[in-house]
Amino acid sequence: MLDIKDLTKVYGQFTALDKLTLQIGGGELHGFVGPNGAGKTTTMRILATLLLPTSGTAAIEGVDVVKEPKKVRQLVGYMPDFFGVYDHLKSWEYLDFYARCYGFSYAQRMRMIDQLLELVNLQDKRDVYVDSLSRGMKQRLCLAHALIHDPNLLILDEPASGMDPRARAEMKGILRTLKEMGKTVLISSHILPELSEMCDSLTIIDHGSLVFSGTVEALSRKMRGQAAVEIRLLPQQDESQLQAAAEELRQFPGVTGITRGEGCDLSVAYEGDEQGAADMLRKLLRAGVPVMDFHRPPMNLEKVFMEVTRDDG
Amino acid sequence: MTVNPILAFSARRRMRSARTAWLLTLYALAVLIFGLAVSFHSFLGDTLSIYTMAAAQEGYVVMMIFQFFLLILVTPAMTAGSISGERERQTLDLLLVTHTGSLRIVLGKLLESLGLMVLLVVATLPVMCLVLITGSMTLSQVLVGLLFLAVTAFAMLSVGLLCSSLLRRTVAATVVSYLAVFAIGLVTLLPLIRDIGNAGRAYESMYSSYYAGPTAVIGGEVGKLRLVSFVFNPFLGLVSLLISQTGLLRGTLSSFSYTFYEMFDYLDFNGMAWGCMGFMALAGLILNLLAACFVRPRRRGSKA
Ligand SMILES: Nc1ncnc2c1ncn2[C@@H]1O[C@H](COP(=O)(O)OP(=O)(O)OP(=O)(O)O)[C@@H](O)[C@H]1O
Ligand SMILES: [Mg+2]
Repeated sequence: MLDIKDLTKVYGQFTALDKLTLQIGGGELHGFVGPNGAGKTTTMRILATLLLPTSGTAAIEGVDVVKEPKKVRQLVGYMPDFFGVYDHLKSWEYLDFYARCYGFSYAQRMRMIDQLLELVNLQDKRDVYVDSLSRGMKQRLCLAHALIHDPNLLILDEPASGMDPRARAEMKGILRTLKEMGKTVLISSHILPELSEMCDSLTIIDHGSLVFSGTVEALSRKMRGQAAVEIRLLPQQDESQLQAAAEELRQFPGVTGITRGEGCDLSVAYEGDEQGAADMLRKLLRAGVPVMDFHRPPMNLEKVFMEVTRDDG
Repeated sequence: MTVNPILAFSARRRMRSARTAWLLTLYALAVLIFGLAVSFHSFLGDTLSIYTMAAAQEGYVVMMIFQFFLLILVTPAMTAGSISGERERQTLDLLLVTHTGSLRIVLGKLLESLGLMVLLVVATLPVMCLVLITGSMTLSQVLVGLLFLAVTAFAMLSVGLLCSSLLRRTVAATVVSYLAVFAIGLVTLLPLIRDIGNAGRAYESMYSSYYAGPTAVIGGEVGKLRLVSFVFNPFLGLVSLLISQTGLLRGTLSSFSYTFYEMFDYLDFNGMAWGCMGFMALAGLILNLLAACFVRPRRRGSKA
């Protein structure tokens, strides 16, 4: 569906995108994550034919974005991170305007406008002036605009940035609908947890280069590998018992370090799979360690994000 | 081919704003008051005389010149924000990713402003037609006069549009387009110096060699001579038109340079006026094509 190869964008001296290579399959909801200035918008603008790459190629369904921008525009629906609306224009007219820009006939437009407004839950705002809509509503309207020509690929640059939790939930619903309609969606955000909830696969970029690309499970697995096991012993253990437990754990294969937490908490850095974790627990119990709580903390995506995009200088 | 969407919607939006109504009203009122102030006395007399007819024509001339400068004052600002405004409002990208080409965007913007300008000019039609009452001019002459104004507006709008597509900020585009209009006015006046020189020599030759006459030197026959400056300078073009329509302004022009007085009968004022309209129309077209090139996406690594 989307095939990006060695995509590079240099602004003057500054390299915003550095040999980004990335593939996205058809029908996928693909998250695009990275800190500020990572190059997300730059990539998306290149894909939307608004920006020329310095080098490298990008093709959508085999159509090159540099060589055949007109064809690409038919395949792609683009929603920019920042956009404005015209004043003195009602919601339905706003969509009507862009539908005209795509060359749809009157009958087609009238049919699609209501469908689109319904899709983004703005039916009741049909006759409201666009400039008086809230930011979240404008974003949904802009999403509808990106859908007018029924593109196969949707490129959404931070579509949920101005939305309240409720609107975000609605947005997720809309995206799910789009997925059911068979559309491929590339959606950017700073917020990894939010994306990982709804996306099938993720790409993380930083400083213009790829950090990770793959399914959400693959990311979890990769991160899980380094994740800890949190153990809480029965309170008021004396020091010797804690030492013994720690010793026990240290001998276990895959354990790379142990940190003492508050009271009787132990945090174990562990590189192993679920089976190994179960074995670890069994071993501790056999050794008579009074384990009160044994769990692997859920992947802290916030932390992962920080980890993955850490500024290594 | 469907109606240009930009034209259709900008026009709708513009017609919804109260500013447009005010602009139309004030414009027509200004022209009316100004024209009446100059020519009203011609309608007060008991009889129609050659004097009242001339006075009505004077009113027409004054209103045309007044409108010409009003248009120059209004037009560059009209389009100076058309593209840069879309950039500032961050709506240009949304347009560029549609199937609408940059030429269509530019044309839509242009036609929409031109529509308003034509509306302004047409709104003054009843006022301008006052001159018809005294029978001193024909309706077709008045219409050609208004056409001249419309073509002038087209050229001025195109200047603003090009500036708007080149510059990021509307404020800068507005300032630059006024400067550009001013500069064009000055530069196209330059050939006048040469023209006056030529005419002066023609005038002299008329007396030094009687048989050769001015024709030999200027290269024209009576009523056939066209001067470059009158064709390229919009104001001189307007003056040509008014002279060809009313025969007035001879004295005014002659006070500018006596040689004109001598040359007057040799000049093809009607031809120069139409030449000027042709020039403005052509220049406007070229400016618009240029503007379309600059609107095209991906010309620069723009982010905004
Ligand atoms: N027109 C430009 N000229 C110079 N540098 C630019 C331009 N546009 C973007 N950049 C730089 O390119 C880098 C990547 O920008 P980009 O907008 O793609 O980041 P982003 O991932 O979208 O960030 P954010 O999360 O803040 O939206 C930034 O460092 C930015 O300063
Ligand atoms: Mg961005």
